[in-house]
Amino acid sequence: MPTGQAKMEESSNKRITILVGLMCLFAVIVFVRLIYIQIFKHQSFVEIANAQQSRKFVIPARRGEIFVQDGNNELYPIALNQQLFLVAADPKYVKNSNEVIDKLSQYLGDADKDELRKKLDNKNNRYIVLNKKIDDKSADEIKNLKLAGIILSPKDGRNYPEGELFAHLTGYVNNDESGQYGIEQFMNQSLAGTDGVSRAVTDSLGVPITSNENTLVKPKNGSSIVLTIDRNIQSMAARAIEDAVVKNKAESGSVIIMDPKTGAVKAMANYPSYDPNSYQDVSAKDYGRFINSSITNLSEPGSGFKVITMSAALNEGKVKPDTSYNDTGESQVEDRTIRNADNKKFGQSTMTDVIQKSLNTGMIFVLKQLGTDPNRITQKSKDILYDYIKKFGFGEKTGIELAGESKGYVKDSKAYSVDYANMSFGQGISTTSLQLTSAVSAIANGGTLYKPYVIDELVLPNGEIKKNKPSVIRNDVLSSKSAAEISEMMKQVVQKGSGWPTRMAGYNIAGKTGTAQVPKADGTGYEEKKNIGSFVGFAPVEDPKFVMLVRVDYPKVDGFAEKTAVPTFAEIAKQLFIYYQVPPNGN
Amino acid sequence: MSSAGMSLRKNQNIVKNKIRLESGPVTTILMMVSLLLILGLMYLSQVTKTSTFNYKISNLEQKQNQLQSSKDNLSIDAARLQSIAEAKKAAETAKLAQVKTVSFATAR
Repeated sequence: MPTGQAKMEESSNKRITILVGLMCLFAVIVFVRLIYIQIFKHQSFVEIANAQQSRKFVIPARRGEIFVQDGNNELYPIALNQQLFLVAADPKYVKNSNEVIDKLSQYLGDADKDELRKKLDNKNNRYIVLNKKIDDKSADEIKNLKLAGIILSPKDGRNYPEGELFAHLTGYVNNDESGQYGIEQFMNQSLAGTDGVSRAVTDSLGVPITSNENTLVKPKNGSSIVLTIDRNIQSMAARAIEDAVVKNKAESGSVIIMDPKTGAVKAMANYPSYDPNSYQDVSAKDYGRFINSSITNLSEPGSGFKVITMSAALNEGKVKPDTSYNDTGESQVEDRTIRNADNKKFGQSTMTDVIQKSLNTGMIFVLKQLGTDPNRITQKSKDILYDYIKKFGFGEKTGIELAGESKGYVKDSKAYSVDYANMSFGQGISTTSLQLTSAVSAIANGGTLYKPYVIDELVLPNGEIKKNKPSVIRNDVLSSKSAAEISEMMKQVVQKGSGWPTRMAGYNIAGKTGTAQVPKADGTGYEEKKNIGSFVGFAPVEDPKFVMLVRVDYPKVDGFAEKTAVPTFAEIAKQLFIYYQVPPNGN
Repeated sequence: MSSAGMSLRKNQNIVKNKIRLESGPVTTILMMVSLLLILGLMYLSQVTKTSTFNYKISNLEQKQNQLQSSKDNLSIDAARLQSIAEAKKAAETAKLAQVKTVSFATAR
């Protein structure tokens, strides 16, 4: 039997064993917890520690600038950087909201003063933006007012010294420093560059201190861009189209001028425009002003498209300029009767007459010749026309370096014959002005389709210059013989047809008018009193220096394109001959 | 060497007694503290120098930014003054007439 002392010893040993066991258990728990924290949760705790002990500073990259040229290759800036300031208020420190509003009223724009007063009086608010963009001069003036609770934060901004003139080409940079529309949007990544980052160890107040752990990734500035646009030609185009829209009481208008030998766009002007320096002032109902209608708006090309159908037939050897047919004033296709635009009949007419007098029935005759049976529109007729429409670049984006380009709509060759009959003279097909200009360029230069472009040079931040070269999409659109034949027909439009207002002594100009009807929104036919007048042409025919398209939308004066678009073409062409120093040929 | 010189060398005591430098715990602590103090002062001086340079660099960067901002503003003013709109205004003020006819010289 164990004695009392032995019992006590046994009990004591048990307690010690239990205590040691508990301590071991505790040690194991601590050990496991340490492994969990230090190994499995290592990264997350490192991040928490870093966040408490260091700060990240973004070093903004400098945005590239945009330039245009003149005839002497001098550069002119059209988009520059400018340091701006954001004005904000901390209501907690604003003593007298009335005084603040009175003194800052000239810097607050259209802000609702009563609403602002309410916000400033609410001391629970800690940050109210008063104006997102003021220049440094105004910032200095505000600083000098020494108003308590007013905060000025510097921010990068953009300035467009030419105002409205290049608005549709540049677009603008919004408050989030992101490009909107035009080059600013299309080339946003290149222009913006990459922001740098500085990570620095900070003291308890968050002030950076010197440390070996501090890191710096320098910003990569954006590339600058030189456009192919000639600022003098752009100015001529902008002024002329504004005059045309006002004179014809039209809704809008546009002009594109292109070098037919390269595809370089020399001018692209739309009216009405907007000032990219104050894009916020454009009201919601006028948001359409931001759109570059030359590349975005789709419309039926109208009679200007006849040169495409005729080119196809000439190139296929199906007709010659003197091929004739009997114009009865109307043509039956399936169950529809298609008439000439002026409801006249011209009897025996050649293909040159068809283009010169813009005969719809003539185009249906041409379409029939493309197929296997010259008396009707066959599947082959549609296949060949569709093939040429694609060859000329319709139904596809041209690839110009501007945001918002549309690709248009072309019915494929499975469509009804009546659809193709309409397409042959520019109805039932939608194109952009740029597509038509580019297609006519291919006629002007002898059959090569170039990709239209507006970027001439990219100037990298290290000063290296990347020159943009003309890009050939295809060089077999037309043979040079066919191109010369259709050019001659287009010359007759100016000499004897609807392009007469652009006739100029000593200069051979080729062109084609188009007065397109506007389809109703519900798809039930065309608007009664709405049309789009256009004239697309090039000059001099023997060695073209420019291709130009003038478009006047919804004029409120009577008559066809010769009254709306052609005079504007003539006015610009006259100035271009002087600017390009093209002497008259003496004929 | 003269014989007098030789005799002098002969009589020289060639036994060297080692000087034993011993320091007690207080001296050792004092030396360690002094060393630490010197190192601390050197570190402080370097840190102060670096901070001063940082301050100078930050000042220069600020100045560079200000100059860049002024340059930007001047570029904008220059561009605005050379803009087409300004040129048009100047032409109107000077009552310049538009070119109506142009003659080209022909080579003979």
